[in-house]
Amino acid sequence: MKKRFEFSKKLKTISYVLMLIGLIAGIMAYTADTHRFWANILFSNYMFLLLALGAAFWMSLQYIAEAGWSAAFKRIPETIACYIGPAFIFMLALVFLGMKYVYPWANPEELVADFGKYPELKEILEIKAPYLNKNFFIIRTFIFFLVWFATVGILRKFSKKEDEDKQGALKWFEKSRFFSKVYIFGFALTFIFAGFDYLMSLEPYWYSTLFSVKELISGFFHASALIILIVYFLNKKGYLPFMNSSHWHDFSKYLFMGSILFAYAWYFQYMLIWYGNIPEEGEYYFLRRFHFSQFLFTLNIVINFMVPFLVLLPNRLAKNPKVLVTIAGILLLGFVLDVYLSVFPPLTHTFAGMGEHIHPVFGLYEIGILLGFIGLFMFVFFRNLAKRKYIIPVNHPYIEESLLHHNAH
Amino acid sequence: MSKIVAVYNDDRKLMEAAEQLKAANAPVEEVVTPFVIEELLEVFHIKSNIPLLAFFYGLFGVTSVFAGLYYTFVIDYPINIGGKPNLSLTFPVLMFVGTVLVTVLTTVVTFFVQAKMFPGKEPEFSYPGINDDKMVVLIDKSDLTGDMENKVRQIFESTGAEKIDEV
Repeated sequence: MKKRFEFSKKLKTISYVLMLIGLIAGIMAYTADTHRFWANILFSNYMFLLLALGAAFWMSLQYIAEAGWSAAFKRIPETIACYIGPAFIFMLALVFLGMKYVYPWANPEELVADFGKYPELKEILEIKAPYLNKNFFIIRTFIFFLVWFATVGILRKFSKKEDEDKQGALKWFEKSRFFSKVYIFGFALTFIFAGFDYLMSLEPYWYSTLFSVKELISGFFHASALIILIVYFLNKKGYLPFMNSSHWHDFSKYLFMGSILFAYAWYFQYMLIWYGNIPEEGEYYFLRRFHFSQFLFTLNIVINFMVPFLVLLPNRLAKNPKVLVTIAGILLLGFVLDVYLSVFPPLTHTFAGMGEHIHPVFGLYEIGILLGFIGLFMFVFFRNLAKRKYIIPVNHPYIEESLLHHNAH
Repeated sequence: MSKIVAVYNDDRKLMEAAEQLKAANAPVEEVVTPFVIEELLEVFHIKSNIPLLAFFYGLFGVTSVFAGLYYTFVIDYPINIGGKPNLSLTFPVLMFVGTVLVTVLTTVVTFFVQAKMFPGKEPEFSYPGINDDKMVVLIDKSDLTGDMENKVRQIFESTGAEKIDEV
């Protein structure tokens, strides 16, 4: 049993190559179409930020529920959360350099002109100006990341102390339990506004109070899928040899539950807007379904709800790690699609050569920059994982229970 | 005095006894525990068909609730509510709730039928402490052949049964 994760040359090369691809695609996109470049930065960075926050949420949930089964791989969500650091840098870049290319409210003259048919939009933006203005937006970005850094940082620090301190491990566990609650509260409160800011304000004329809740649930759900993928990878590499069918079964319960939760969140927003039938609310779905792509819109709910729900329903499939990992991979593609459908439809107006008629754009720029971010995420994740002395926690009070985890059936 | 009763106060001891009894091929009639011990089902290779049945009840529930809604809102009494289509997107809410209700009720009824339980039934077996915190293994003497009785008693004693009794 290998105790410490080793960031192998091969993995390093892969992540460097991916980052290089991302860099080249980024430079090409920047020179060709600045709007599209910043849209991509927001798209990719937001995705991994949400996964990092969702993984930290997943870990906190294990703490406050005093879950035993997950103790042995709690290092994985903990390390995924490290991506908050790079996410901050890219968000700062977006806020300081790219804001006017992405957010219509930050550059009303140029961008709202594209929606020129609707002069009321200017009025809406003026009403919303006390909240949606550049300075307050920058301040909020700092506040969000301060809260996330502080709470996740404390949890990571306690986890490190727990590894070192054999006698006082229980004390650090108790403290982690308390700060998990702090994180969940802080995350929920700040993320509501972060969701409004980073994604919802792409369409400043539209609002939905349920929007951030849906994003939060989606982050938690897809972070579980990412954790499963990474745990499977590390298990194949021989780092987590204790994994048995009970662990996989509990993981698939997470995905199953998450798929229902996601469908619920997706449905309550859509159904209420459909039923209310108020033009300025319906705008959001009207744009996506009838101007953008009905197919992708439907595919979103099929991938994120139908596929995991139906495949993970039979007991035998739910316990099979190969099936589970396939579903987790599909779900991450579903996540890309979900965020894509949030970010790109309102911005395709402004991409060069698109004019009035919009249709999905997903070209080499998108793929390249996304690959770059995957490489960056891999690099950050594996480097931080290799820094930790033990990949399996040593002094965690539930570690034995987790290693010997067994469910009847 | 036709049944051997072994009383345990620790589920780990009970599990040990259960494994040994299974290995010795002893005809265990019933095990009564104050809480669910799912490993027992594994040891005795008892497979419940209730999960599968519940799935079909769920399918039945979702179709019947949808049929009921469809009949009410589309066929029998189509009423114009805010200009929305009669086959409305709000159906899933009611279908979800109705499906849960139908599935739960039918599953509970199935459980009662399979366990042959009904209100007012005379208890098949009673022993002091069985409704409290004691775990009880029950073996019918008439099932025991040859040397089995001694073997069973030995298993009970060696695994630390609190009391071995006959009723």
